[in-house]
Amino acid sequence: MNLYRITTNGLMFGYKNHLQGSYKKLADAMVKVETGRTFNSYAEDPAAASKAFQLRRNYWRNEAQLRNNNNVRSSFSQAYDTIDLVKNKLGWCLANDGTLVGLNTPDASGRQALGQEILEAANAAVQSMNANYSGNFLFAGADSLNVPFEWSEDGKTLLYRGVDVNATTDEAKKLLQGMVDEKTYVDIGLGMQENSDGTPITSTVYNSALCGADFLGWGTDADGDPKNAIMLMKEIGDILKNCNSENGDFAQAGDEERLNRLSKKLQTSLDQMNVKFVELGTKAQFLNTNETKLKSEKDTLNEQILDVEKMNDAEAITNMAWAQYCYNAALKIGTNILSESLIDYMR
Amino acid sequence: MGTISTAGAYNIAKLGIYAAQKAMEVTGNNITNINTPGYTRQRLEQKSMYMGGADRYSSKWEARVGGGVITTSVSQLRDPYLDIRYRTEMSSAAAYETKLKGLQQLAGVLDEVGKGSDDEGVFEAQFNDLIAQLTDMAASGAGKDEYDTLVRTSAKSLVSLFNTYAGKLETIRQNTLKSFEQDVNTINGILQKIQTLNDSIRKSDIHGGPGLELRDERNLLLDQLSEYVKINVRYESEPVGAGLTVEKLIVELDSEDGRLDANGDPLGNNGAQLINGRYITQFSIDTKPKDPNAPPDAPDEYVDNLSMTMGPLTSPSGKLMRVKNDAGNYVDSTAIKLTDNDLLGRLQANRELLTEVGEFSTQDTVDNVDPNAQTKRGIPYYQKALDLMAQKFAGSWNDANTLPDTFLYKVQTNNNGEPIDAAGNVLVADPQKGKYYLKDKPDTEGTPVFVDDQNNPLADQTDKTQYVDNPMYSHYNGGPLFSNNGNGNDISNITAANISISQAWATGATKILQTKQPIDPDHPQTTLQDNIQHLLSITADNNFEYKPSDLDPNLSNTTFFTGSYQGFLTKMCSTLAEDTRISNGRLENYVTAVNELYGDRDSVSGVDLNDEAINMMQYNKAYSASCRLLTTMDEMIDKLVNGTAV
Repeated sequence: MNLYRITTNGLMFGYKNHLQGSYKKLADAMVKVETGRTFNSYAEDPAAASKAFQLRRNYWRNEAQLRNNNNVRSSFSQAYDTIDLVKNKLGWCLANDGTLVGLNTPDASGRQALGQEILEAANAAVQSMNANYSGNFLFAGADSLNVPFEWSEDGKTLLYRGVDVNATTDEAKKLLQGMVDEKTYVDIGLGMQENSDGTPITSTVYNSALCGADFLGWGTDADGDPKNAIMLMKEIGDILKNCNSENGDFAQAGDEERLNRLSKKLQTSLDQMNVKFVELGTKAQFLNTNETKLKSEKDTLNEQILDVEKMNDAEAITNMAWAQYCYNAALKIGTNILSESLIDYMR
Repeated sequence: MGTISTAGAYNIAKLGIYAAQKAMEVTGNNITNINTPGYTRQRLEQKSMYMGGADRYSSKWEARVGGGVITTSVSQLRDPYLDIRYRTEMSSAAAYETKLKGLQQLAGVLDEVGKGSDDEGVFEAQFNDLIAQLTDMAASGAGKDEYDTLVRTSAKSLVSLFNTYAGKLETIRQNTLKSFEQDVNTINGILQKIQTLNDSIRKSDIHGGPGLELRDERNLLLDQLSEYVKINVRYESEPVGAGLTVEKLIVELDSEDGRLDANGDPLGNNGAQLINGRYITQFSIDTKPKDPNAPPDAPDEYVDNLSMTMGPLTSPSGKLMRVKNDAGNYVDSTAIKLTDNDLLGRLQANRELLTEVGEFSTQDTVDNVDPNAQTKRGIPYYQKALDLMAQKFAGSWNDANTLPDTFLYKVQTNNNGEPIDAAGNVLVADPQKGKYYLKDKPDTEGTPVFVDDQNNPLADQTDKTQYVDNPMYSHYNGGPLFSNNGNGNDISNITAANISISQAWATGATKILQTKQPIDPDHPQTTLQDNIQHLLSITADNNFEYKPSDLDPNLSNTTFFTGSYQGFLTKMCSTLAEDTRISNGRLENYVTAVNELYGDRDSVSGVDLNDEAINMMQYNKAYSASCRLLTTMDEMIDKLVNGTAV
């Protein structure tokens, strides 16, 4: 305003502007108290707003990754229990089979019954390996909508996803190897990224596929014997079942020798299964640790979001109280300066 | 005059009384008009009357006395320089105010801060939800229809957000266009009013009146006009005959780089005049030539860049003004087409909001029209940006979900089962990219050959009815997921307004493709999900390059943003936010300047009650004194007449 002449209206005009400015400050302070936010539009603080939305995106991803992590961990946990069960059956089988006990027992007539039990244990093991978790078969790799293990039509061979686990042909070998190598990648917060060709960088994702054939073994060894534990159990069971029910004599020459050999191989198979079992346990443990990490990340993200967005209540209320005070003071002045002029004092 | 008549002194008193009375009238006028907008305080001009001339009885020792006071005129106290400064600042302030209003409307649609449940935003939250659904599907939902439905439902919500936002932006554009049309009408109305006033002022001047109130009204209208366009106001003299001149108002456009003619030389005196005395122009928005096939009553369409034309200077009766052209000859005034930067003020601000496309400007615009076009962003910029985002989103999802026919149908292979092209070169398939490459030159694409059941090339490679299904892709249930119409599967020209879930996806004919790898139908892989993982990756993280040429091949090929979809959304919002902040800051500066100048103007021209009160007292006293003089004169003469030589 001009220094040398201030008119009646000039004073009013200036007062009006300042009063409105004061009122706007009060309104802004009130909005911050009501919403509890440091900024209520992108324009107020573009940098903070961009950061806030990025943090929220990370928060959603983190929640999804936690879900994934827990899903995989649960299915691994179920798989772990299943393998444990199957191992026990194998162990039982080994403890009771003819090599350690049967050949020396005076009661060789029990061999046939034992053989039957072993065969049933083999079936039970197959059923266990067909365990289903939440609509997916645990050990079916990338075909988990279909039952993985089945006996062939003639009942003599175990099929894994339609392929003979003994893998006697090249084609079968190729197929089974492919199934063992299958990957089902999930994002559990390892920084999932893709290569330029659209495939994921393997160190940034987690493979949740479990291949039943890998746990139980597959193929045929140099002696022509199956490597698969259940096939081994079946053959052992068949040999014992064919023994004479009265004196326990072996049905064919070479059966006893074969029984010995197969039992040793069953022990090897059990050892290998143990290795995989421990690996599975380690994996499940890793997922436990990962869950802790993800939960901690979630808390950090939450804090960061609040840090960026949330207004300190005390500060907000103080600002509002001060703005209110200034506004009231401005109102009070108004009534004093606007009313009078010389005319009011003229007689 | 040396001698004065006996009753001559009465005249002095009478003149004194007249002057005081007139002054009181002026003071009264000032006081009563204190709240009249645009009123300039008036002052009575007084002059002492000089009695000149030869005197029959004069002598060089006599004392000449003035003849009293005469009131010569009533004048206004106004500083024209303050007017000029006020109007200059006003046009900038009004321009930024208009721009800010437009940007705030855009922010009302696009700004996500504080919206949505838990302040998650609306668009952002929907993208996050889509990613969450995809993540769940990739983790445990591959091959299960219900997960596909969940993703589709989330995608449908997202797509309808695109549609809604596009609709809202278009509504804003239509409203702004109406406001722009209204501005043009308002300007034309103001010009007409000024024309009427100019006429009245001219007549008043000719008859000797000061026309002060009329000038006040005119100044008010000029202030209003300055909000809409930046103007230069000057006054010239106009001869009206018999040696008499009156004042003539001339208002010109004050453009940034001055008025230029076709050669780029300054136009000089023939600048773009809005008002020249009684002659005014009228603004109009340029329209496209009428489509000969359109019905006769179809409304005119404006040209895309909303360029404007100032009509020829016309008198109230419709006569065109005669102006001097460059050759010095008098010709009829013609219309002037305005270039992009001629107008400043509210009109231009609205125009820029309606036409500026920022990075989507063509090279032609940058070279020939406005070198700053790439950094000016109006409503169309945000509409195009949203369209680009929709197109990228739909395009990348459709690409990820579709394999070309060369994979789905049998192609020619050699004895080793490797695909070969027509020349017999061995090809390598890349299902992820949907292409074949030469085995020897992995960077060069190859073209496989469609065959029949016996591995013989088909005569007509484009006849789809002859194609034989490739059994390795009997699992394929992919296809476009988004189309430009919910009733079809056409993926061309997808925009934010028309993006829809494709009919195939909506009916379940197409699903999210689990994998692009070939699968032996005898050995199914029902829960492969590498393609779902890929879809998740491109939705959540991928660094897409956004180029204006993606939307229109004639536009720039420079990448102006690299990032994910949500990143692009953030960029749009933060661009808008920065623009808003800058405009806000500038507006505050200009408003402060305007208010200061308003105060300065008021301090010169405004009525102050204290001032007038003192004036009243002063004139009151002068009136009393003159009356007293009259009384005294009367007494004196009375003495002479009735008391002397009786």
